[in-house]
Amino acid sequence: MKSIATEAVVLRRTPFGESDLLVGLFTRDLGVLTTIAKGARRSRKRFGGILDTLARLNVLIETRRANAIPLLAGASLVDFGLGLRSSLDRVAIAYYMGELVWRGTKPGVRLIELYEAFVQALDRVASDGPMPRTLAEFLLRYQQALGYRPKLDACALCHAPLAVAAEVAISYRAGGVLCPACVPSAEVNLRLPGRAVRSLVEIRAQGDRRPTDHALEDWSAAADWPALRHFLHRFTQYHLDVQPASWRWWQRLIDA
Amino acid sequence: MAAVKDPLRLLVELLQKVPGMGEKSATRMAYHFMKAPAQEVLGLAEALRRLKAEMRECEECCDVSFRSPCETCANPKRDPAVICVVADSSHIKPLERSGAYAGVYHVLHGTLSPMENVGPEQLRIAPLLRRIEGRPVCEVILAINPTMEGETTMLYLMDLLKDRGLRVTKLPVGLALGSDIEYTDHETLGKALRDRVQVSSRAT
Repeated sequence: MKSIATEAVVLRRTPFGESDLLVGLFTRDLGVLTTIAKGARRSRKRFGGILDTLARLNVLIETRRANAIPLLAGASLVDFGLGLRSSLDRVAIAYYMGELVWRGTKPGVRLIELYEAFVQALDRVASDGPMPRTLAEFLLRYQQALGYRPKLDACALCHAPLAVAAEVAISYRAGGVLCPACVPSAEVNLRLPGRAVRSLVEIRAQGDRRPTDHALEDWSAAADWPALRHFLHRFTQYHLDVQPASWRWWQRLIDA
Repeated sequence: MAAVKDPLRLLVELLQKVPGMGEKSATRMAYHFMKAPAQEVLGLAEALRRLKAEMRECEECCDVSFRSPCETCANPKRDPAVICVVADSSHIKPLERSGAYAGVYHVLHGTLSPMENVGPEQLRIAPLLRRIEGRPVCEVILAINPTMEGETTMLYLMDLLKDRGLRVTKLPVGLALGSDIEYTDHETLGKALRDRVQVSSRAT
């Protein structure tokens, strides 16, 4: 038997058998995996109420036989994500990011950078940070971690640097932006304002450096957010074949 | 000719579909029925048949009931101007045991779950709104588990119910009776501190 102590965010909870709970976790060191919390529904002694969706925990996972579900042997609370519960928008974005992680990553594959990006994004969404930029940053880092980083500063087909333009054509199949010369020969999925694409390039260039709140408020592409959100979501969906249920739910909120 | 299933195995299989019932408990129960007097077992079968044939949702509160309106909604001693919204029928009994409530209930039959694609259409939210529009209701109490899904449901309902001239309240989160501060998680303690209640005013 092997024991691993790591940090994790709860993504799914499913009742199992008479008193157990299957807990889907995104762990820092083991990627996403489903664990079994024995007796979690019968007794609150071991886990209390902390095995809640989007709660961040320190967990102890025990792996037994090769094909057996790993055992969630212990958990202590790091952050319950109470700030997420202050508005429907925050909840919807947090669920959306969580579902992308759950559906888009392979079980057992360690993705520390994505874990850090996810936890940072949850923190910012929970602490009144501007949500559009936080989500844009998370989606860019998500795409990068999974190897589908969109090409935004040069043409995805001929690799020519992108000139400043009022509008930029995007092709999901080509993998990013297109220069005017390549547009006729490619399938164009949508067109984005040039300033919106530049702001995404800027976000990506900042890498892991956490911008100040002032910089977040001044995000120049805020007005273009609906178009950017559409692009980032569709690009992810195209390359990862992920259709999160929470996206539809969130869209309904926006439409309402 | 289709193969006839061993009735014992069939019963174990069916019992395992009951939430919380594993193979061991289902087998134990099936053996119990085999040994029990025929009258008792047939009585159970009849009760199950009647359950499916006669139980329905109360047209007022959506709770499952033998008649509609249900006993609680038809009780003239209950105050119909106060509605306590619960996620599940099973949550009514503990609230009744508290003895602290004399209003009526509304059962949603679940909580919103964006990742499982459970939206407002799957819950009994529309009947709740119709009920509020049709009657003079002064308070809606949200008595839903403070889990992420539960809180999401409460946020959604608070949004729907605002600007309707209603008092909307929810059960506070904090220390359970008989619990120990030393063993209470820091988030619950933080919430209890933020939502603390005044018990005496400052002496002047």
